[in-house]
Amino acid sequence: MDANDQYSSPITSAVGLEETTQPGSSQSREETSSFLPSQSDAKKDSDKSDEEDKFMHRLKIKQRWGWFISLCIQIAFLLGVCYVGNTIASYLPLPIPGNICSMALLLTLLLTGIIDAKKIAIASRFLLSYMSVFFIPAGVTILTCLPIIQNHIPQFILVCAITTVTVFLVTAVTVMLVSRVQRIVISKLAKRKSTKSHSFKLRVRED
Amino acid sequence: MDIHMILEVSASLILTVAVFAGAVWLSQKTKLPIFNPLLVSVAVIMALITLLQVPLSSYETGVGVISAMLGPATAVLAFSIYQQRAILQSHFLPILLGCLAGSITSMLSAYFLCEFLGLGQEVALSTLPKSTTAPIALAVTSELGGTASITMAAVMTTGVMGAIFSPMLAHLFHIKNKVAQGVAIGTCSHAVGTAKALEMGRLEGAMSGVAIAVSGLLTCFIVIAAQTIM
Repeated sequence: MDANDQYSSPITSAVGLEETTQPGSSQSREETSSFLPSQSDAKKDSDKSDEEDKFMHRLKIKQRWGWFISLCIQIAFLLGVCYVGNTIASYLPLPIPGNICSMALLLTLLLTGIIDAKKIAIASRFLLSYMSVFFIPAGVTILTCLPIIQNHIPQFILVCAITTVTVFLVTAVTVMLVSRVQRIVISKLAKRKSTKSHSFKLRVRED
Repeated sequence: MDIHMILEVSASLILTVAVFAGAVWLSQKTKLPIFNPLLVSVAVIMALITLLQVPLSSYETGVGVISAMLGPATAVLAFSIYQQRAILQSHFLPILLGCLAGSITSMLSAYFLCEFLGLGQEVALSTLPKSTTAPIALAVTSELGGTASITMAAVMTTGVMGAIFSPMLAHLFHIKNKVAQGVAIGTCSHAVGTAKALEMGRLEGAMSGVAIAVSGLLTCFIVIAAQTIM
């Protein structure tokens, strides 16, 4: 599962980059090099002539600039999608937020093949790996509500902890139970189908 | 643009990014789940703002760029869902029912626990939608007549708690099914937990992203339906 590393937090992904380039599995190597310009390439060429070194250096800078420019273009495109999503959300009768609308819009664009997933890959990986940063401003606004719940902070935290644990367990158990039931039903249906087709074949042979 | 505003913006941006980088370094170094990067950076920034007596509004205008990226960061979850579309198709029913069970449990447990612990009707109504993503929670709160700032606090607290507890819970109760882990994280702790789920793995992250959307919409529909019936 070495390809997972690119989704993890910035530092682990940098560690994963060095790990994945050494065995050189072609797919993950391509993906990581598109995610971040690989730096270990330069190390291999250290014993070669100066000219090649300079060329590699120039190439690296070009790659980094290319990565940055395509990141900016892709983020601009995503901002456009969000703008359209927000506009759609404001016309809907239900209180569905713009974020969810733009997520649905982007998913339909990807599923219908109007935009290629590769075209937004760089920005997607960047935004997904630094997702926590974008919640810091929202988190800091807790300051405004501290005076309201001042006397009840321990109870408030207790409520959050208990419900979080309960919801996690209920959801996980439901998903596992339903998928187990689904698997049993599907296997039974498959058995019935196979026996039916088997008897059908037998009958055909008897005829 | 006057110099005051440029200073404001650059100072709050640099502060936010630097504190977050430090928090990531701390969590990598100590590997303790309690040092969640988001929790640490929010706490440090809150402390700094209170100590230096910076008005919250000037910090908020300063980090407008980061807040504006929250939309694309949520929308981009569609990319990770798209990459796991085969698993989404084969596990459609379990994911849907899991989200439904999780949302109902979340709403009922939050409301009745608040009433039980004597936090009052207002806090109870405001914490009811706390397992959904922030925009949906705010919309539901305004439907129910709760207070937006309490909802925001409950949403962030729940998110951070989910990010801290969910790997431990999965380990403790031997939940090895990655789809179940992802859906549970997304349902109980929305996008903040999803950041953790993405660290755990690609599949968990994508399922968590699906669960945010599904459980959020289900919560929305259930609240509206309950209001029209009552």
